Amino acid sequence: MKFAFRVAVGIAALLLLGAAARAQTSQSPLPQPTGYVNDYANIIDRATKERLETTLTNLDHQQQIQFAVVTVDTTNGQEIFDYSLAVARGWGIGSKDTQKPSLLLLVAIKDRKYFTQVSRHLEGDLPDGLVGQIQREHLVPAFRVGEYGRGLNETIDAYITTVATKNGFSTDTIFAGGRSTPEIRRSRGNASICTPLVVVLLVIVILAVVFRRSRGPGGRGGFGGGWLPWLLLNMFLNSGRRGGSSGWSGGGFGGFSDSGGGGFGGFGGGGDFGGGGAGGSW
Amino acid sequence: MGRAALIVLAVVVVIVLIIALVGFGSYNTLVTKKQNVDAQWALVQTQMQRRADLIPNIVATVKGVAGLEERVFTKIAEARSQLLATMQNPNATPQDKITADNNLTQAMRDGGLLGTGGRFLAITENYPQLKSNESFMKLQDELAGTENRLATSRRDYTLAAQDYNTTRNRFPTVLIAGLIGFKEQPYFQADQGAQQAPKVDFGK
Repeated sequence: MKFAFRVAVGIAALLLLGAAARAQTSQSPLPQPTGYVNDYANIIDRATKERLETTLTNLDHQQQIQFAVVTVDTTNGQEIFDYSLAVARGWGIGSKDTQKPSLLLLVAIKDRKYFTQVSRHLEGDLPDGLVGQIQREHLVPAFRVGEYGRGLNETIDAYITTVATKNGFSTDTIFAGGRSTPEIRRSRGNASICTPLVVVLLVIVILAVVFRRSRGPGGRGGFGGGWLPWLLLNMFLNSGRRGGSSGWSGGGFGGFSDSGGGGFGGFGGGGDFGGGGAGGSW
Repeated sequence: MGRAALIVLAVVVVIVLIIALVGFGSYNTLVTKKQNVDAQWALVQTQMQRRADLIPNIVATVKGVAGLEERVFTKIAEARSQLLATMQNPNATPQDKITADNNLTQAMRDGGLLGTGGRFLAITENYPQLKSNESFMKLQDELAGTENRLATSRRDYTLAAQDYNTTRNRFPTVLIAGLIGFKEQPYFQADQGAQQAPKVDFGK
């Protein structure tokens, strides 16, 4: 029993290494996203951030359109186009399977530069010229007076309104500010997003082993007689399978997001960005 | 004697089997990678075409707003029709198209339609009034977007071509790749003009 358990932990560790290796193939210059809005520059006030997060959650859940907002201080001398493309592809915004339309609005505050990356499936609805115009009308004036939250909010709203008009869906339930219905989330099976969770759970499993050993041979107990490590391990192994029906993508992990809108389950792993979009400086 | 002959035969059979297995494996890998290269190349060509289609619009707008002379744009127009002709020529190799596209890039840079790095219109610095012209700004976004897409698809193509060429030129694949018709894929040359400051001459 104990031997089998250690073998299982060993296998788990190997799988973890595999997951970590896969995570490294994404070359985003930023850490993994924590929500649709990632305010690394700390410039969006709490109320605006929550409203944006809710809106973007609704957009994803109801229309299967993934928008992301990122603020950074600086791109460290890199062209903002290259930087934002690396983030959009590295995070895999959009879905691989259903070709979910997606978009990334990234602003570098100290560089005073902005860029919106538009995925290939959204280019028809949001051509570069229009994206540029929306940003010149909504983002630039607000940013010039330091109202970053308002500028991002209005720009995103204008994008959503445009896409809604062209595709004939209503924005009422998206902008309402209410919670989206907690529908069953699509399974994502994306190892790179799960990695932090995997690390936490693996640490628990290892602790469980140590705990059991410290009790001495034959000592029962630890985590409830040892069923919990097995459960965790089972979930862990499930997560490795693509399209598994349980595990991380289940509703139970919605609480990892700090959004108010029903949970951020990570982006879909698509990253189908071909360089469309527009940007500039303020 | 009979036993020795059997051993030799067995060794030969094993060697032939190994070569065949390597051959099949290499062939399948090459097919997969070549398809990726072709897909990326198709995207590059789409963007080349898109750029050629867009240039007359932006030239007309810039001429109208900034009142520039015709001859500034003659070289761009020539390079553009050269590219279009090459794109439509069924005998043109990828290398021909790459060269024609590079020539257009250089002509645009010389004419001020592209700045260093290929992402901006240097012309707006000389003619600030263009910045308040929304239709010009939208055209500029479209042109910049085309340049960005072209740069992105060129980069993706190069990565795919590198991957394919590495596989193709590796031993022992290199021994059979030529025989079964897998040619090496050309790269885009390093963008030499990107390192220089643009020569903006508006013929004044």
